Parts: sequence; structure tokens; C-alpha cells
Amino acid sequence: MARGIAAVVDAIFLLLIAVVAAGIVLSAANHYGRNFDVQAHKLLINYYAKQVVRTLVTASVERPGGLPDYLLAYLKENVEMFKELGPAEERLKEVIEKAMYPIRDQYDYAVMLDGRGTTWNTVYLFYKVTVNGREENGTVVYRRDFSKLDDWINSMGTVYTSSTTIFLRFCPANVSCYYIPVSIRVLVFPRGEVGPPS
Amino acid sequence: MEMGTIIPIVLALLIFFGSLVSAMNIVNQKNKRIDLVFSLIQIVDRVTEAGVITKNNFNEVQSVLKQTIPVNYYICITTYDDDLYTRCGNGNGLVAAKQDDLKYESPQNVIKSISEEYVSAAFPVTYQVMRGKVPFNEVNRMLVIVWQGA
Repeated sequence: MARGIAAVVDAIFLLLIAVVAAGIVLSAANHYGRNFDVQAHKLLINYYAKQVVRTLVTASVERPGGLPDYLLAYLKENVEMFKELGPAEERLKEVIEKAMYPIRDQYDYAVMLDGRGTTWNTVYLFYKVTVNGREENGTVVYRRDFSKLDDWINSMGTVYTSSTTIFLRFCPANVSCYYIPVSIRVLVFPRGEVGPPS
Repeated sequence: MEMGTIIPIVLALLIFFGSLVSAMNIVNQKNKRIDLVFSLIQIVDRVTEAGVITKNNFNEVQSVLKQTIPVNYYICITTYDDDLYTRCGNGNGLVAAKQDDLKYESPQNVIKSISEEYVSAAFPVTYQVMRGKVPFNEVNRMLVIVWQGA
């Protein structure tokens, strides 16, 4: 009799062990699945940022007379040392807005024209952020001091970036024209994660 | 062996192996999904590798994709101005179908017809159109849907 009860108790223990083991296996599989989904999503958003850079580099815009030209070619003509981007700024903003349209409901973004460390030593930052459910667009120009820009970027938790280098042409008075390397950098981050840059 | 011993042992085996099979299914499903994501990125990369998409390279790339990508796919390039799906393709010659065209098949209809797991994503692209005699690279959206199929 006692041996029979012991056998039943052993079987129930085995059942308990099997239930716990099954729970661990299922939980591990679910965890693996969730991680996979997150990684797959990250992969797509990272690729999206790369595709935005590719779009900015190849897009055309209309010049004031209606004549089409590459956005970058138009930009090169309009960037003057320590001056505003001029009419090219509006064209650049239009292209950025179109390029970001498919993800703008889920993500905020910024596009930097980064000439740090060159004689231009300027960063143009075009951004869209969401503050209390309201979207804010704007442009900030940083010259010489980039600490606020770095702080703003460092305050982002998750950020997907892609960049490429272009050459801007400068033609100062009485000096022959020369090119400087400027990086176009795209930052994509979750909606509402950071406020506007200062 | 008594019934009181057999039932818990059988139950234990059923629960353990049942959970193992479920876990393997979850892992396989996720592996298929990541394969689809890679294929989707491969498709976008191939279509946009020239930088600008033109009518000719869009058609050429599709025939190459059909031979090299091991999944079913459907691509639509959408303009921003009128939101018409003006240039779609699946590698079977369905190209340049306009919304009022009989051949037109919207991405929504394609998705409805897919009975299994699929991955879709939209990316910005530049598509070359002619404005008079001058080429103009419009910023468009490219929607890509991929699924395993038979």
C-alpha cells in the first residue's frame, strides 16, 4: 500500500517538474519571438534612415524659374560662408517632409547638414518632434559651439541613424572656389521621446 | 503499474512534449519572419541600387528579382500628389498599371489575398519622370509586400 502511494507521489512530482519545464520552454520561446520582432523592426527603421539619405542625395527640385535640378547641386550654390541657406532651405525641407511621410505618425526625426571641423564650422538641423501630442517643425543653426546639439542627441534613448558625405562649394570674394566635406546625417527616433532642440 | 501512477506520467509527457512542439513552432515562425524582412530589404536595395528608379530599370530589376528572391513580392511606387498607385509590379509583367486600368491591383487587395504571414513596409525613393525634355527625380513612396507563398 505504502509503496503504491509512494509511486503515485513520484508520478505527481514528475508531472510538476514537467509543468515547470514546459513553462520555462514556452516562456523562452516567447521571449525569443519578442526579441526577434524588435530586432526585425530595428532593422527596417535603420534601413529606412539609409533610404532617406539616398533619397536626399538623388532628389530633384525646381529652381525659382521652374527649371529642375538636383537638390544637392542647388544647395551647393546657395550655401555661403556664415550666411543662411536661402531658397534652398525650403526645397530641402519639402524633400525631407516627403521622405519622412511614411513613418511620421510613429517617429520623430532630424536631418543634419554637419560641417563641423571645416572652415564652415556650421550645423544645420531640420527637425520634427512631438510635444504633448502636437508636432513641431523647425530649423536650428549651430555655429562654433555644438554642445547643445550634442546634449540634445545624447538625450535620445533610441535613435536610428544613417549618414553620407557630400562636398559643398564655397566661393568667397577674391579667393578661388573650394570644396569642403559636409555630412548629411538622418536621425529617426520614437515619437515624443525628446523635445525641440535649443 | 497502477492507473494512479500512469495518468500523471502520461500527462507529464504530453505537457512537456506539447510545449516543446509549440516552442519550435514559435521559433520557426519567427525565423520565417526574419527571412521575409531580409528579403524585403534585399528587394528595396536592388530596386534602388542605381539611386534613381526609372521605368526601364524598374522593369529590368523586377525580372532579375523574380529569379533571385525566393519569396513572392509586390511593389508599388506611389506619388505624393495624387496618391495613385501608378507603378506596380510582381515580376510577372504587371507593370505601370494605373488606378483606372483593368490590370490595376491595389496593395490592399494583394494583402487580402495573402492567406499566410507577410511583411510590408514603405520607403522613400526617387523616381525619374520627364518634365519636357529634362529628367526630374520625384520623391515617391515605395510600398513592398513580401510573403513565402507555395
